[in-house]
Amino acid sequence: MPLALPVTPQTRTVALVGNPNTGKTTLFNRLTGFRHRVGNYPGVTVEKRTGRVRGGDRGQPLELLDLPGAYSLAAQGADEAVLLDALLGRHTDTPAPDLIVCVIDASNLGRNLFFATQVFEVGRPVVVALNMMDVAERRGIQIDTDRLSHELGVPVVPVVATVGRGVDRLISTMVDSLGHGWCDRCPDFPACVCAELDGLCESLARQGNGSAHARVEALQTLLDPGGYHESRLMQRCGRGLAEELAERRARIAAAGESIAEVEAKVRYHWIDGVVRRVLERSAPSRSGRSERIDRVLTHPVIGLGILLLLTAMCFQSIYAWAGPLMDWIDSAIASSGAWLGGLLPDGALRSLVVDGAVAGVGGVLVFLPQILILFLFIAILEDCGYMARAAFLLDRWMTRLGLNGQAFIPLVSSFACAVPGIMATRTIDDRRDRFVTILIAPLMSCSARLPVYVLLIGAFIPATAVLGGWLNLQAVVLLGMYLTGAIVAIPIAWMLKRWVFRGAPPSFLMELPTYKFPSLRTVFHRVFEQGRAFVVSAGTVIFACSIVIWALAYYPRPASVAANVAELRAEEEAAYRRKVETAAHLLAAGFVQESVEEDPSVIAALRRLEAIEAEFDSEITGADADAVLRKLGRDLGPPDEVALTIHEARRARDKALAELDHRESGEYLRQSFLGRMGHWIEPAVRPLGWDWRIGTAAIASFPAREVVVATMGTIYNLGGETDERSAGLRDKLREAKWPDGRPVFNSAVALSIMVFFALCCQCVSTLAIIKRETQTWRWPVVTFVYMTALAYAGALIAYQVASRMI
Amino acid sequence: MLTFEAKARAKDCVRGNRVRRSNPACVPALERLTLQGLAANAFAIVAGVGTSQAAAKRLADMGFVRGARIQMVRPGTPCIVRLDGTFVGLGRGHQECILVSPMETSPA
Repeated sequence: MPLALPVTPQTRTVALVGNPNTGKTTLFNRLTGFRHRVGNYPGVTVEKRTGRVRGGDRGQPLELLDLPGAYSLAAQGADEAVLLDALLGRHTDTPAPDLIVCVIDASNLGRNLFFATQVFEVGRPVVVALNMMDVAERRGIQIDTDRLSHELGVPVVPVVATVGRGVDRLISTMVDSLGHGWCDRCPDFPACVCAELDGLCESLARQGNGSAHARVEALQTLLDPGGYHESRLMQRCGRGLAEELAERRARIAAAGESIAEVEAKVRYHWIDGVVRRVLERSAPSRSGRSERIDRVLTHPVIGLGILLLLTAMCFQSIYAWAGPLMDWIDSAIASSGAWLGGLLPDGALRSLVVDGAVAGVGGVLVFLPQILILFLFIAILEDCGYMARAAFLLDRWMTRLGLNGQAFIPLVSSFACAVPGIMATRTIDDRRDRFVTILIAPLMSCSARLPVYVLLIGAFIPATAVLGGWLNLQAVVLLGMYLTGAIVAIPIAWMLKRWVFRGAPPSFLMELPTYKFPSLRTVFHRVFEQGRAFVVSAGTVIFACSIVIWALAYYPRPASVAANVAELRAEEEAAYRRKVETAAHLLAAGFVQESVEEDPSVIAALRRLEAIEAEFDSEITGADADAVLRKLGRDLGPPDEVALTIHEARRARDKALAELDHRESGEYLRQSFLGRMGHWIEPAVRPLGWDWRIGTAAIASFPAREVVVATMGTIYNLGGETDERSAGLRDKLREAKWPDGRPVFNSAVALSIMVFFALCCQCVSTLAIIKRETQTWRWPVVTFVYMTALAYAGALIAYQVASRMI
Repeated sequence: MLTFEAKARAKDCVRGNRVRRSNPACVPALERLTLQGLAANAFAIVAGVGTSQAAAKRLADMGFVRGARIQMVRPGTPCIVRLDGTFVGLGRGHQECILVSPMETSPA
């Protein structure tokens, strides 16, 4: 028996590739048992999933890499470019794969083999996993796998990923194939193409751009004008390459070959031969279940109706199901804030934890139920194959806006929250269409704008009936706010498409996968992953920003404010004492004067008063003395008279002290960095009809627009604990005055604020998600700037027009 | 068999593409239409993908090569086409790219 080799073999990398909808991810999950890490590829958005598996007699560790699906190595979308860079080992953090597993849909062998023959040429050992054998058998397709393996020159393993059949054999074949040679049986290109290809390889090598995969790259550069490979090489080689490529392509065209078609022609010709030899059809293909379903679901009228119904159902359930969960999270956050607040001493640390961290992170977590429910719907619809049909149905309408049909779902999702909406744009193939969609998604009126609308409409828009009593003006204004964003998005999309993301008019090209029953495992896994990604990425940023805004609104806390307020507090305290003493002095010779409040008879009388108050559920004042008298059934004795005075005096003191607290926090805010900023920007917001306090609230609501309600509460001396239903804030807003005595708010100002918040991008989570999805700070900055400009212009127009009309 | 309506539509839609129109009596039909000219359930053979459009290579790579048999499942813009057992949705830009020769009957 030979000596055992070293016990820990080196980890080898295995890449999983294949056409879209071949069950690649299902196979990946089967192989790794759902134990994998999710990350992003450097420089692009596409998710990278890696997982480990051990196989073979020695337990060879394999690092599996799930790559995005593609039809061809001629990369078009972001995910295809990722695939290519990963296969060629261009990503710095992932080594070039030691082995490539090419997943092929057995029920559609021909088309899948096109990509497989391209992958063979990469020059790595390849194992073909022939997936969906069950589907093929049901369709009467028999494939001679041994013969196929012989024809292709690589191992072929039949598998059924959905139930795990053949997975063990696949793993052992993977281990066995490590370090073997690669496939050399590839279709031959016509002589004219070969000559130009050799020439191009040579000239690239001369310019120092040769690489191990020079031939694969050169082929796609030559035959895919304007493609990923060409633009990538062009960046390094400059104009010389463009001229060379044009010459070479012209020579190929002169030889009678079409640049676009020659590769397909050659490969499919070769593949047709292979397929003829290995595939047998026992039954003629007939219209399947999917086709019958599609007769209804892709119908331009009935299908669209069903789609709208499904969308409505989805949103209805988001509101219906998320509501209780959100309330629960909200109260859990509030009580944890209160609990933490109780543990910490009063001061900066407590404010940081309660007002900064808990309130900030809580503000994000509240949206988690909405996001999970939305992604549950998206995952189910996507897994069963409906999403491609939805995109198909809407393409007709979306192309009129210069967008792709695939943009519909993200945009509709954005009405609930732009964060999942932007995450959902990943399904859009064309990078330019995807970016346009990302940039306009925040214009859709999300649920966080609702508190702002509710507060201002309730306070300043009269509830008059319009349209002959059919509608309420308040409802019309609310609807108008929702429409504002959607309508403004149309010209913005058009302009972005025309000037920023110029390209061919969007056209739709998408395979419509066969319908299948959604796999619960896949769906829940997907929802969980999205939820985690949301909490981690948006949570970290909003956490940081909440702390920054908190610090700006909290510091510098000048001591003069505290001293000033302490003085006023002492005055209130003294006034109270004077009242109590006077009452005691006048009425009761029998009391111990120093502490009339401690006299047992007075305490008993106070208790009686409180009991009566509780019973009548109203406050007792001096005028009610008769009622008290009757209630007690006897004359008011001196202790009762004193108790009444003490009671009233206490209430007045408490009210005054609470008022002082609000004034203190308001004064601190006025003197804080944020407050100073507010004063500084006041000239800028004056044309919108705003005073410095509204301006400050707008700045402070940068992390999340719903913060503006709480900020206005603080600024208008009410303290931070205000929500949109609080009549107090409404009244305070109505009472707010300019220095010259005019009221700050009227319906024109309210409209201007609402239009501003409808169009602005006051949401750090959205900006953070845009950063994550576009992998650059440029687009979040652009989004913020254009939306803020739009919001300002919109608010200006709204105020100037409305103040002249009303 | 192409309906009269489909032919009329083809005339309208094809526009700039090089379309050779032949005698309708000639069997098999040698007309070359873009996908927009195909009626529901009509079968056709791909005659080529245009060379100028950026989408051409992608279409060819997906299997729209000369000689491939397709069936129009849902006509219009966008349309759905059956290609070798799969269903592909195509928008206007891609539809205009694909030239087809209609076939009289199903390829058995």
